[in-house]
Amino acid sequence: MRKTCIYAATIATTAIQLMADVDFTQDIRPILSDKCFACHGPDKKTREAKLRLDTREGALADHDGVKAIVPGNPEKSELIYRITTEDKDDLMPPPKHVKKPLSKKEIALFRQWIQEGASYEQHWSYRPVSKAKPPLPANAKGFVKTHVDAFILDKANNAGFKPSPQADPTTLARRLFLDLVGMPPRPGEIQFYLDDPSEANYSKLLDRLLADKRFGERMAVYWLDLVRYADTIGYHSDNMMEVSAYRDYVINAFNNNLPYDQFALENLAGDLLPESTIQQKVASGYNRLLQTTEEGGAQADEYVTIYQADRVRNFSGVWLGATMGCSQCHDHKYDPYTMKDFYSMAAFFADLKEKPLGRRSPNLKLPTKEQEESLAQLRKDLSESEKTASPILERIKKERKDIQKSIDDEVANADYKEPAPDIDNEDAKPADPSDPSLSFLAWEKKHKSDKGLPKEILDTFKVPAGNRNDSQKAKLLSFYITRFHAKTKELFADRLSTLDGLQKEEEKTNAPITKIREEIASIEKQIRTMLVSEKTSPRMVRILARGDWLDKSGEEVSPAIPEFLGNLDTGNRRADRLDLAKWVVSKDNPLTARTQANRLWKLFMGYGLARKLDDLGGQGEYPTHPALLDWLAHDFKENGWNQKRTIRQILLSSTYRQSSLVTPEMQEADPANRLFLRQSRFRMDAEFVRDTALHLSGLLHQQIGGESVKPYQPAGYWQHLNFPRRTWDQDKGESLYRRSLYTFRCRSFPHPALVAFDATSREECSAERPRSNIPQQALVLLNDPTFVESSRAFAGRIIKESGTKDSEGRIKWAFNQILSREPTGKETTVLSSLLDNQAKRYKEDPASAKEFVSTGSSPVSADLDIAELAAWTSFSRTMFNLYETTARY
Amino acid sequence: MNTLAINRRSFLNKASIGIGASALANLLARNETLAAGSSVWPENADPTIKVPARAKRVIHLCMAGGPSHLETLDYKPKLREMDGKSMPKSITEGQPIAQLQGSKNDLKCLGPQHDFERYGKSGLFISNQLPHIGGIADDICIVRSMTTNQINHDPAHTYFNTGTQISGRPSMGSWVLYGLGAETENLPGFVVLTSVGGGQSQPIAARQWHSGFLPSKYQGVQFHSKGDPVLYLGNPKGVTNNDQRGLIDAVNALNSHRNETLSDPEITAKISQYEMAFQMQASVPELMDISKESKATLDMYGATPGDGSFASNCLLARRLAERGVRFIQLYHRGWDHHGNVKGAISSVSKLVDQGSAALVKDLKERGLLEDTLIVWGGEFGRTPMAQGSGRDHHIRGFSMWMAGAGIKGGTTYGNTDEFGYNAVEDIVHPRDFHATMLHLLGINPDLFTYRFQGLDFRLTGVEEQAHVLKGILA
Repeated sequence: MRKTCIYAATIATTAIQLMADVDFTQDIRPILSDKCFACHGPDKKTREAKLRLDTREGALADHDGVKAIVPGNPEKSELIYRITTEDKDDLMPPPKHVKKPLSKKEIALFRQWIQEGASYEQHWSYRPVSKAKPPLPANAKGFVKTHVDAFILDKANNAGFKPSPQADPTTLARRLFLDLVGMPPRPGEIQFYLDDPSEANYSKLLDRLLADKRFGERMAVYWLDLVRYADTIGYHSDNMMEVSAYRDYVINAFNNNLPYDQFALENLAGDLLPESTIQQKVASGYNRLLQTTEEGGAQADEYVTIYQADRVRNFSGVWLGATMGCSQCHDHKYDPYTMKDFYSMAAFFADLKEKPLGRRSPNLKLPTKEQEESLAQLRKDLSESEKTASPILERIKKERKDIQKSIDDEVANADYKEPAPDIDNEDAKPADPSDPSLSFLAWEKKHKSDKGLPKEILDTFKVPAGNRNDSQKAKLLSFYITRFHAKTKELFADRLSTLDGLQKEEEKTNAPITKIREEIASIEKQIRTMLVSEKTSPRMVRILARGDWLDKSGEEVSPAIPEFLGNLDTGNRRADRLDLAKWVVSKDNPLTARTQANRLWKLFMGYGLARKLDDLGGQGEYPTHPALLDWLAHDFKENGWNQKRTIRQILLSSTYRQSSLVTPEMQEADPANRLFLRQSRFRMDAEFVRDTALHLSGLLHQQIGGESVKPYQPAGYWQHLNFPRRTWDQDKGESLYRRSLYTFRCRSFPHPALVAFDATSREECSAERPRSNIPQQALVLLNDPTFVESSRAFAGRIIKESGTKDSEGRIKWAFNQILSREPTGKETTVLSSLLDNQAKRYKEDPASAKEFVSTGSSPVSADLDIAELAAWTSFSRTMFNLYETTARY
Repeated sequence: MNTLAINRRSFLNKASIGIGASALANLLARNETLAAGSSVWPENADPTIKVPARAKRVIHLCMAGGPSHLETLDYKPKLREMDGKSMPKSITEGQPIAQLQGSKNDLKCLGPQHDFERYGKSGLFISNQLPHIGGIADDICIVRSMTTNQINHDPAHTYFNTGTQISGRPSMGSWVLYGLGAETENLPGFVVLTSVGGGQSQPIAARQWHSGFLPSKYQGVQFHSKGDPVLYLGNPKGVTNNDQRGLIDAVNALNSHRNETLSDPEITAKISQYEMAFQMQASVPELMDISKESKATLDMYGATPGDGSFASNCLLARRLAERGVRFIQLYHRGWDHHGNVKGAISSVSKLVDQGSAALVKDLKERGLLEDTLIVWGGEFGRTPMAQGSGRDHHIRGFSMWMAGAGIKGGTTYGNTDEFGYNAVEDIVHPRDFHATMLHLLGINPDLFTYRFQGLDFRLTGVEEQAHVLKGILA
């Protein structure tokens, strides 16, 4: 009952304010956009009755004496008639197009707005980012720690609500860890703060985590969703592509706090920066992350069209929070993006050198320092060996040449005739034409496939005698005369033997050189590669009517930014990606800073200030705290696009530190937490669920970066891939225990354990994952070998590290490790009973115990009692399956 | 900042939720429940967009690879006359071509490689390679005027499944599950089974049954005939069902206990998800075990328990339908016949013909056909022009058939030209098929939307009007 009273009172106080001025941006534009613009908006092709309502000029225009809007006079405004009439043919929006007509309140708003003069405003996100002045709310003491809090409290005051109290230190410390590094704290890492949860210690903890290398990994998980990073090409055969260095670049960029403007330049145009570094080139791999095809029968022109559209969609989503993809086939229906804007944007990317179909070869080599050093050393060795060998080889060459010449001369003068039965010759015994030592033909016949002969000779044999040229004939004959012909071979024996000696000497001299060359080749084969942007002469881009790639009649366009946002002044020079990137982070771009500040807020508060993270345009949602968003965006931009600074601005606030518990009153009054008067609570992202288990178990192999790895995955999961067919070659050793952002991302079949927890397939820009709660998640946590093995490893830690044999003591230790808190009595009872049961069961069935603890590749410590380990593994599995273990509060 | 206005706006929000009169508010509230992941499988089709339903569930027999309509469902005597002669340029010029690009200046007709016969009382022309399907001729409607926009396998599947070639959008099974929920709590509401044989097995990606921007709970779950039938379904080694039950009981007890402090609806949901997971661990193996089916039934399908064949999958489809699964998709990956279309059609037909027909007959005998929509067809058809002894991909005209709930049996819909090249009569686009399917399921396809990136997305697309194929409805 009490709730109802409060509620009614709220209505009463706010109801009085209904007569306040109508605000176009908040009240009118959303309705117009949602209900009217599809037919009366920016897209002239689908505009009905030549009426546009997205501009004031259009709305006030005279159509044969009828005006949609007559400012100050609702009754004379056709719009009011149309939205209120009983005549179904006249009623707007047309009943067959919408589920519900406009509500009475919406109609009342239109009336009042027209009465008040029907003023229009530019859409909020297209206005310059203003330097909002933080308000000075009442009751600031105790809550307002930072400017952020002033904005939040001011709105709370106006709504008549209070912020939540600060969360307890344990919850706060865990929140910081989960938010900033994506895994829970080890007890030792937060003890100083729990002992003294002072302001100074809070900031100390925060700063430690911002400086932690795991921070970059955590942030990269989010960024890689935006840019749809994956290890495979996506379409059809979905073969591998090597772009993992881009992932590492992102991790390092966050860890080094690379200013966001520089980050943008490097992503979009790192290859075009003057004297660009290797890392800047790697960054430009951003332009190569899209899905591509190797399908036979794919048409190049079609895929060029698909790729350019993909790039524009992703560019606008990632950098501008815009949905330019809508204007591929028609002018945008809700925002001022035209088709021309779309194709002009595509033209920026037309300079990228790329094969539209088939395997795309990596165009950047990334040797490690060791590889570089080895290569340098080997090249040095090579040059030395060559230097040593050179005079020897020269001598051999000369000697060989001389000998060869003397042989050749002699052979040329030799009077060899193929023997024939010659009865007239009385001086000599007739030569026997079937004797190989006398007849070349007989010899050839006998040795035709003699593997002992040099390859060159055997190859020449294969040429039919009649087809051999003079040189081939001479070579064969010479070979015969010098080696096999009974009458001549003695003459050459010494010289041939010398030649053989020279040959051996040459091989010996060359041996070290060959070996070094092989080593160089082997290292070069191991060198990591990368697909990066490379400029070529730009492809012509034309507007494609309805997006149809077969239509070659459209207007040709040059690179240009959306017209309503201005234009690039490059004189006569064709604008390029670098110009585009500079515009993205220029002072007058209103979207970039708002987009990123809004996303950072979301990461740490659970929702964006503008809730539609991927659309700040007309169909997005007006920010709940527009001035705060502007303040954050302005602060971000004006302070060197410093992301860690913005994150600190958010995390130092009382707003961030609020409890996430919700009172029934607030649940009812603000179920979606639009006032941000409590923290959000949610299950962690897929990657962090697994990382947490690996971290707790001690199995985690901490290493920043590297090529993608293949941990456990159910057999046969890739059976539907083809061209070629392939299997998931599971890694061994430490690669099984890397953080999940290093897991190989196959777009056709992303890792199923990650998918169960809503990991994206990295096909399109994703600014916000859904957070589902499905039975597959239970199956993964219960049965995936990663979690079973982690439970076993953690059980080993309990037995060895807790320092006690007492179950209750161990339970307490485990709680502290996993949840940073003590167990309650009830929890201890439930778990003790499970432990007793499992200990008994596995003692009686040692075979099962052995099987159970042998899941996974990591060895079981020989000094552990298997039944005991099995029981504690069951305990750990239980703990790892608790919602609290996977949740951020 | 206009704080007064904000106040008034929040009043509006509160008031509308409080009064509960506004559909918008309901929608918002519902979406927020969804985002929070409620434990029940809700019906999300707004009551205002319902139309009378004929079908409760869909079984899609996806003939993946692009079956030749010219050797299966679309009889073209004229093409036989033209065998070996040049294809008229007027028909093919300027049209997209896949692998025949190299020879596009000399395209030769390839006559039907198999004979057609009249089947059933209705006398439908069907290839003699599909005698069992011929046997159910009076139950099916052959659509001979299908078209699509995508000429390569992967994008074409994506198109047929999601209504667009852009990946990341929900598949039709996810849409249907989102709209109607499932009638089972022990099984996923959208199940996918696969089989191979008869021709090149084109790759198929999980995006074909993905939920895209819809919540993940609506994605299709793949069942496997080897290993765990559902990924991660089996207990770890050395763990019995008793152990697993004990563990789940402990997890649920601890979660409930913790929730006394936190009152977190996510925890409540979690508890029910563990129950469902445990039930799946029992019900899925039971479902997948067809060995207890009668010999007569197994023979009717031509199924051998555990063989992973299309025939067995058809039988599983019936079992899934009986158990309340909403959307069942069977992929048979063997229809990509660039060469030897004659022999390959024979072999793949032997693998799919009997099972497909048996499914229709079996459902009919069990009284399930009347509310089950069965769809049989591929992502595109094949060229009337020869590619050696085979046929290339073709998107301007091809065939599929439908049967069951609300479908007029023994009929055909639409036609291609005499070459079987262009659909010329009652042309059907995938969005029309989607509209018809939703209509049969009781959902107004024009009003069934989900807002994503500021746009009210529909399975039937946001631009062109989709048409319910009234002509095929009984």
